Amino acid sequence: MTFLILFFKFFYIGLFAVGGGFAIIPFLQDLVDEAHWISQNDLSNIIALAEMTPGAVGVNMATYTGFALIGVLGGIVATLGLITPSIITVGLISRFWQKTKTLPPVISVFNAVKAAVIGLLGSVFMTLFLLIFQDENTFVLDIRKIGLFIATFCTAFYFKINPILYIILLGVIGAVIGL
Amino acid sequence: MKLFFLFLSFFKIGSFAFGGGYTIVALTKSEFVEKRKWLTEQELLDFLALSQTLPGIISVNFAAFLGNKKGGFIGGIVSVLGMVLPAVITILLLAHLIAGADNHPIFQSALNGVRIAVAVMILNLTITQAKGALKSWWGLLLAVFAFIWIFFKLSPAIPIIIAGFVGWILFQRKREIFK
Repeated sequence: MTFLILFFKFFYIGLFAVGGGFAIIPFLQDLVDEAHWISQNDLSNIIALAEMTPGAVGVNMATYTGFALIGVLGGIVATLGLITPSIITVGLISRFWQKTKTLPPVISVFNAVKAAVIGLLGSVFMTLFLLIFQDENTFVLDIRKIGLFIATFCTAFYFKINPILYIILLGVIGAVIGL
Repeated sequence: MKLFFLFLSFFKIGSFAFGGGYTIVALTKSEFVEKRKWLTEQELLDFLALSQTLPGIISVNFAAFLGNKKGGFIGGIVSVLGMVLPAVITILLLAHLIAGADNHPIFQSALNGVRIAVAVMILNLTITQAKGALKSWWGLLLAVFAFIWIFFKLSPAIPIIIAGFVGWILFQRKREIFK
């Protein structure tokens, strides 16, 4: 793994992940499935840590992934790769933005892309959901885990609870009951 | 001096932005619209809409727009770096701690709990996003296509590019109807 490949992998993610930080999750899933750069467990840790720390979740995820791959410098290189397309595209658009003001075709493209991103997120959910029941390469349908999942989902969905709160809470519950 | 202030302001925003994009917008509003008066409320909304539409992390795009407005291309770079630096530092520090505790059984149990929380979070995110974006049959079709696509472990960039084309064609057709 060289720094150059890492940089361009995240440059590519920065170029195609449309619709906010969580849109990069399908691309990280691709790093798990296709390139085998990180494990499925890594991905789950990355998402949790990104949500709990300050800053944009997409940036957090890139830094952690780069770190998991080749240490501190890897974290920095992955982050630089991710932000470079933004700096270039915004720099270019800022030049003619004052003249055009509205960009209806761009909005139309964005709405369509957003729909595709939902499909991608849905498939990421399926993978993460199955991961819950993975125990050392065997699939165990643990009734405690199913109960916790349903209880957390219902509470979080109806009361709109901050994810940081239930990530910490479930971490504590997991440690106490020895999940 | 202006560049230094841009860096400092975004460093501050990046340090306190827990939970991603929308917190960042709220902090930017108080820093640049209310305190420094570098930006009008309308400009903030325009930059936000554009940042969401363009590829890349929303808050990074947003920082780049503001930086470009106040300090040109270099201003954009400085603002983006200021914005991501706190996140990069925090993640790198935490990643070191986690790497050390990784094999402890209690930590593993806690992570099993966290994994449930992460799956809940992604499911919630998918549902909330779907409410806004899947109003039309073609939006639904794009989402289903993207969902199935990922099961074949293929690159998530393809559904995004296809969705972009569909959005573009739909816009052209709409324009012809209204002509």
